[in-house]
Amino acid sequence: MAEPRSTGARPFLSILLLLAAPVAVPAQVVVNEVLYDPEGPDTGHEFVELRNCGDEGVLLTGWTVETGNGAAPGDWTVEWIGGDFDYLPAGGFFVIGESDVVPPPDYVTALDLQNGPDGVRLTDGGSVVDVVGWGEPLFAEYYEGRPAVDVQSGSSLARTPDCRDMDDNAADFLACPAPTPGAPNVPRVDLAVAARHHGAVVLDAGSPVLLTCLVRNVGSLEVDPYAPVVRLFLDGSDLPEDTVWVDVELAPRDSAEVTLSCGDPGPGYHVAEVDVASPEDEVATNDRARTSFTVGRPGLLLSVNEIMYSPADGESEWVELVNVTEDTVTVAFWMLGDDGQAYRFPAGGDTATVPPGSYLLVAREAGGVPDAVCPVVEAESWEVLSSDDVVVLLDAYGTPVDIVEYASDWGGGKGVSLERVRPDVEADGPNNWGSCVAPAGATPGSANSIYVEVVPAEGRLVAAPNPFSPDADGRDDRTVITFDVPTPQATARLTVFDARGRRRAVLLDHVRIAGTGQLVWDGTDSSGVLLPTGLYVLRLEAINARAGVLVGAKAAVAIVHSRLR
Amino acid sequence: MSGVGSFRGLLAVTALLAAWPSGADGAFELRWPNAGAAALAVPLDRWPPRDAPSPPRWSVELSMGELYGLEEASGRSVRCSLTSGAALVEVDFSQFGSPLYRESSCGVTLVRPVGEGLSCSLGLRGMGLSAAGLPGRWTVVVDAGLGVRLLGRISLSAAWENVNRGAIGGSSLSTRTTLAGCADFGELTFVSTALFEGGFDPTLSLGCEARAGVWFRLRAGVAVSPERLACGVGIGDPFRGAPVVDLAWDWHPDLGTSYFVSVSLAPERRCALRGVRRGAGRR
Repeated sequence: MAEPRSTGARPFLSILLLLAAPVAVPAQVVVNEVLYDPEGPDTGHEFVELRNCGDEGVLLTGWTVETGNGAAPGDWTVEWIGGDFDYLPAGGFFVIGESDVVPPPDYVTALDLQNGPDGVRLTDGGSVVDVVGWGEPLFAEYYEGRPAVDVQSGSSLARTPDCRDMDDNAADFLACPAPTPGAPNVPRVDLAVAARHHGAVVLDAGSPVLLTCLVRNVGSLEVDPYAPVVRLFLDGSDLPEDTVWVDVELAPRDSAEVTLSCGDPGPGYHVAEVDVASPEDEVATNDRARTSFTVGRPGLLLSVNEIMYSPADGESEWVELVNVTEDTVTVAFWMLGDDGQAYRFPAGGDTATVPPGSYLLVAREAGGVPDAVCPVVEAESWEVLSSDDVVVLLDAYGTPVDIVEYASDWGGGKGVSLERVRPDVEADGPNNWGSCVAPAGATPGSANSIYVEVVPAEGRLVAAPNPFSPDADGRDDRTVITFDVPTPQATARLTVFDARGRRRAVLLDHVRIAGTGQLVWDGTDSSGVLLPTGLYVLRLEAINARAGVLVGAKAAVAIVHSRLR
Repeated sequence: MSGVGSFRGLLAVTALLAAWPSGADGAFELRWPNAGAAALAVPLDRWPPRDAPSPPRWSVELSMGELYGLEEASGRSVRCSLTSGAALVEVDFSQFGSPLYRESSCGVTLVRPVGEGLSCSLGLRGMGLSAAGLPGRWTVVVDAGLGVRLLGRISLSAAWENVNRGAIGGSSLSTRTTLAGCADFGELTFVSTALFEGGFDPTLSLGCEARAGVWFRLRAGVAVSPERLACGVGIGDPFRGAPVVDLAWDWHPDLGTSYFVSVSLAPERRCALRGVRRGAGRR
């Protein structure tokens, strides 16, 4: 701490200087913060912060910052003179400080500010623009209105809020325990809130939802009991689920823990938002905090839609995600992993958001998915997937968004992906998964081959055109056989019989099919020989042993050769 | 007997034409079955009428059915027979399919005795095919048959269908040969057939009819290539000229069940010999 300067009285000179002192004018640029008594040794840490509170930039050429000895009249020392290029933009800061100030000041000098009574003033061409004094200066030239309070060691003297200028140092300045050189000052009243779960983020259905909320006074003044109120909102609702008053006094930098609760929000993924409100809170940006939790199974948001756990040689493992909501989902800082290691999504870039209905691929090697038609995120740190594994998608709060614990008998295999039938229904359970039936073996970035909008209630088999005429005349040469089976995936056999019940052709022989599919038949038998004119019966047998579904469907189709035409 | 001689000559010519089944593998149905035949496990073949000309002097039979539960594979037929002198003449008309695709057949058959217990048959049928939006096509096929009765209880017969190897709509029609045997043991009648068609394994079938009282007959049968099981019931007293209703179900392991129903009336049957019965006696 610097020693106070001599306070030797020179009354006559003081009166003259007082009369000669310039009159303060409304300031656009003000002395915004002064640290004159840093914690520990003063040398190297003192600073004076200027701020442009106006709407236009100000060129500071010829401006001065002077420090004054409040014990003697007219005892000002020029510490800084604005140079030709010292420009202060609107809202900007300019810090004149000593060498150890962090961040580095705009102008470094040895200030040697006294701990009071003392003062700092800002002049422009000899006119005093702003003055701030602290302690008990003996002369009025060292302060405006009333001098500011002499703060404790380590605290700065800061306009609170920034730019407050009532021409009364005592009212305009407050002690700031955490000096902010080059940054906005701490507001007078500011409460911040942070939320976390009171327990696990995956809750059992029916169990109470409790959220712990930490309310912190980050302002400069004490907050009275029952002034702040904390509310809990769920899933974007405007109606609070719970309201709790903070019943303790909060000194600056103090915190209070509040527990909020709500009724059963139902199964699935939920977003909880807590809001702290106080009548004099000057900063709104830190009044809300968000977290998430899951009741029972994860809900529908971003779904794991396809898994390639055994890629073809030279290709990469990958997991496909799809946004099943009607809103864009931001996946910055989300995590995807198996039961070993997790990969955290990057904060920005093309893959930070997933538009509604769009896909995002996470691959061990971005170039290892040659057929991908959607953005691919490369996750080198990801562990190898096995045929029996778990894929977990976590949001930025660590709450599970989707969990798929699959087994090899669900489907998939070498070069064939494991596909989800419906991404908007629960992932767990083999009935919603199966092997990709696309010729390429996978559908990265596009709808799954076994996707069905609605699982049909019963089997259906239709041929069109019917009759058809396989005579290579370009007209109805083939018939398209459309089939539906009441299971998303099945192993099927499609056979053609003649009217006497004799097997003439096998069009599908234990082939994996989706719940809905089509097949083109050219009218040939199993030997490739064109069948003669006649009525034939198509017989579809589809079995999904896992789901216990056995389907049979029949349809008649007639072949009529061209000589009839 | 010059008429008998000329008939024998005609039969000889058709038999030469028939030879053995050709390689044609038409799916076109040559003839729609009737219910009694279905119950005896020879569901698709009921030709020729193998009885020697004898009373009843006339008979009428209406039948319908549906294959494999498919409406598009349904059929109906009407047959009328008339005995005049030493010959039996049968006229039949049948349709199979749906308005989108329909097969039709209209035929006349002449049966004459050519010796003790021996009869010959000759049939002439027009076959038609129509498909939605397309003009119809017709062709004519010739069938021939031979039947013999042994010891009053056993009948053997052979039939050749489409001996002229007709074709329709760019496709050859099947040529089929059917060999059949029938044994009548009073309350039980056994029937066995073997159907040969080019390009396919023979269809073998065995059926049995059991008479329960005067009004009821129960039938069951089995066939291979393709495998089928059949059962049926006949209600009515054919020996007193009452109408007879035959119901039959034919089960295919892949395609399911077909059903057939027929109503026949032969008012003069009461005068017939006991061994001449609908279904069993005609095999």
